[in-house]
Amino acid sequence: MKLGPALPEMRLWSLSIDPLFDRPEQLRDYAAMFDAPPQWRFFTGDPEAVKAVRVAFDADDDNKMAHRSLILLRTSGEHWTRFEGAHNAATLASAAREAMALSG
Amino acid sequence: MKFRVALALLMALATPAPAGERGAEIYLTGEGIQARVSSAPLPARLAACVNCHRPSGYGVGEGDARVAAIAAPVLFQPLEPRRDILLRDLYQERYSRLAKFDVHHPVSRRAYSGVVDIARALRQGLDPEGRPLSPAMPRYNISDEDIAALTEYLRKLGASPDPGYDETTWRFASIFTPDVPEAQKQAALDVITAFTSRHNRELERERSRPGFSPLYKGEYAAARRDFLVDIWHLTGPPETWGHQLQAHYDSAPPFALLGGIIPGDYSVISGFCAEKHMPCIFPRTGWPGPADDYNVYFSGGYPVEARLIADDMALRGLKTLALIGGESREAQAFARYFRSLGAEEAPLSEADAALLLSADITALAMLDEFNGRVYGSGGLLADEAGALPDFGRSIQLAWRYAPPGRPDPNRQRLRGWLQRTGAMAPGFERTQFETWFALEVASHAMIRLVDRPSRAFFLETVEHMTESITDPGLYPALSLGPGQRIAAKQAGFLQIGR
Repeated sequence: MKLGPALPEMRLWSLSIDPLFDRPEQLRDYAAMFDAPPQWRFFTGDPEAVKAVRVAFDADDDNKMAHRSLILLRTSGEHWTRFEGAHNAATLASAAREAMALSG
Repeated sequence: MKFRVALALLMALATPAPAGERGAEIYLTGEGIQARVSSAPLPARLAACVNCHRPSGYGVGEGDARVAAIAAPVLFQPLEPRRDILLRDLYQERYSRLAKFDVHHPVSRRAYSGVVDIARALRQGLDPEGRPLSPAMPRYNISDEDIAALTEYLRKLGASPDPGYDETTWRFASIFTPDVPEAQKQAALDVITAFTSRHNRELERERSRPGFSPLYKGEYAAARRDFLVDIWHLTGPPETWGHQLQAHYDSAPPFALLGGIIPGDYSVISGFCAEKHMPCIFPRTGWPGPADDYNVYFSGGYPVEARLIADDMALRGLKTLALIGGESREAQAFARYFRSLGAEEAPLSEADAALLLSADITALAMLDEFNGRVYGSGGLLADEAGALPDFGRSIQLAWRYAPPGRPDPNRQRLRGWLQRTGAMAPGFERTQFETWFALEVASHAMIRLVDRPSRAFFLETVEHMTESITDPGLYPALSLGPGQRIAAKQAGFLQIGR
């Protein structure tokens, strides 16, 4: 919403940290709660596959209940910007706009 | 005529809920409330208080978020940092690094006095001292009437201790139905006795030496209670259990049910727990009751195995099935459930697949000439130690336990403890480990609750900490989360033979 006209150019991917419980049905329900637009997609999978993704992004935790809040952002390049902990919508939106402006 | 009926219905819907119910509605559903968090609108379901502060109001946190306790004994009292609670948060609760930072910076405030303070918190995000609340706390667009209703609800939330907790004792109960073999029952009872007497001996030692500990343990002396587990032996047919449960409950209501063995249909007991709003933690049963808020299970039981087999048949286009063996009551219940899934039965000579319900020689011999796919139920065919008979052929076992032979150091530790206490019953390892796990979870939750004997908080704590409890390795993984009621969710086929 804060992204305004930039929104259609964004892709948002959310990965479940509880793949044994979060099946497609749970994710659909979750997405519906936010009226998620089509470019916001939700993923779950085999626990091993989800773990592999989390390890690759240094986003793994040994205990589900102690997981980190983590947002990763990039444009087309290789480098990701990490946001750990709680961030408000305005901060994230301006970071996203800035990144898009830089990548032209 | 039709029009008038519709109008009457509309008016009924428009009648406002009585204040008491409206408070519960706001807390539990967020119905009719608008909220924003960091200026973004929040769906009602997420804006409902219960979503973060949980049914108890004690607000078990998750990840980076630590949620403030808003149950009546905390909200309407001055808040001072409590060493005992902070120690739990720092050293016994799994939070992320960021959340621990908050623990190091505790706040104090005066008591919320009533609607004015609560309105300020909800609308402006300020505590009674005028300091900002966490940015994660939504700002609410909420009417004066709704504030009054919610305040009334909060004044009652956790205001009195739940049953089963008094000055000296934390009382629980375990249920055993009459179909439990005596030796198995004894194996479970021995674990309960060994566990609770160790707990209570330690407590007695602490009490006999006032100021016994210069370190943290002394902080908790006043809050600790004897761990008592009543044994409820049910008798007669299931139709009479309801009355027996009520009689046991009336004579001494427990805080929660722990473990116990109920081989048959658990629904009478799960229904009773739901009616009493009493947590029922990890009973040993293959037939969980319908999903509700109060009953927590190890696994989805036999229905999970039966559905796996039915789905696999559908996937492979296998239409007909022969049921082989199975005189036991559990095997018959399995067959009944399987039939209810709509499988078509056929004599073995004509069937596409066979389902083995017992591994006796006669049943296995019947399969000698059969070349189709053979399924089996892991729960029915594996023994207590997880060992499998020699089937002498290939078979697909629907399996919800840990893979057989997976090395597990925790299992060795637990065996050592059972041996030392003299409780070990070698033929009933699964029964003993599951009983131990239910007691271990409860004892950790008791420690975590400190002096807040709320059944809802107990359940939320169990949800939170099940993953952190020493797991004897019976299941692939044991883990819960808010609202989750089945701890071991993985199930699949164990392929035996070629």
